[in-house]
Amino acid sequence: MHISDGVLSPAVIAFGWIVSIIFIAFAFKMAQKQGSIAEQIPKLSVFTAAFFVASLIHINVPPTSVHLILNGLLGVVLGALAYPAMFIGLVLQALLFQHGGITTIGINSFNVGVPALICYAVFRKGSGMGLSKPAIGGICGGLAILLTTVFLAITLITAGEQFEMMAKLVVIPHMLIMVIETIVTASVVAYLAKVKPELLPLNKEDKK
Amino acid sequence: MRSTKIFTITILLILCMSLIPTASAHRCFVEQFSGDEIIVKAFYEGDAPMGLAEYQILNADTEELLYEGETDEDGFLSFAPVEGVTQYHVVVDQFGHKGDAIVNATGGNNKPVELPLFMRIFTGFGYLMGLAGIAMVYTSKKGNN
Repeated sequence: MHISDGVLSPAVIAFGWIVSIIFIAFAFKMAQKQGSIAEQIPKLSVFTAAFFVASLIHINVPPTSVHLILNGLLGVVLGALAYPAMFIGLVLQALLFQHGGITTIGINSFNVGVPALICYAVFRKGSGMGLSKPAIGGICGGLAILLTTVFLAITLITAGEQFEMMAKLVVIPHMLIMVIETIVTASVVAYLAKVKPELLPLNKEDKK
Repeated sequence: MRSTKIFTITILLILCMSLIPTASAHRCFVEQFSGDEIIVKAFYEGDAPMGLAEYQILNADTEELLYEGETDEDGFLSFAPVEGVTQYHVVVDQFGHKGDAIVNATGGNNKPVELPLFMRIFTGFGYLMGLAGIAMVYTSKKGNN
């Protein structure tokens, strides 16, 4: 998920930054409408820290290696604030671990952030329809990885990579991560729903 | 009650896994292996190979392209030394993950000195706590006003 500097065209890099700035501004505006951002800061910090270290847990899937992302979990738990949280996480990963480039932080944020927002919408809708929260949370965990790999593949195809190679090296190895993140997200959502349901970004009517 | 405990333990296990200091980063490395025919291995931290990755070998002084191709399944590539070239810039790219190194014709590569991984993790946590602190001070001041 960490595209390096010098891989993408300036147009794609500019697109990533512009869209990310818009989404971050939109996320804060939406969060302000839903309540005090100050109350969200501890939760935001904990999950940003989890996202920051998640990419250190990697699994060898020859001929490549894949790592946890947790964007589905962040989308489900943080809602719209998942986008700025992952932006901060990606900045720290780029500066401290050299995971991904500096110029590509915008497009890398887009590739993980937009699936997180989609999963937030799916989670809210599913919970509103009375579906089991852990089940819908698990689906969101897997769906986020699927969407991220598709976005990543499209981004790299714009840089001249071949579709077949993308399928072999990006989409197929990430199936394993999909399964792991489905389980992790379902477990965390089940735990939160039972112990502290107010941490889930749902309306009061949805929580019933 | 029992299931709550199981969930708590599961969460703690996930958090502990996240903090294992030997955990490996998804960062790319390029390292020279041996002499006459220069053999180079491209890998992620934790020794996971960058298999079937595109590579370019450049003259480190002039950035002139000397060779290009694809690593094998184990992340290895090899090339014959070029007369007059003492240092090679090896660039390996696997689906946007790019690793590069300057490789000497006589053996060895020039690695930059950097902080250990666990120190970088704690540095990141420090930055996050600092940001959270600033955000809390800002929002509370805004609230008072």
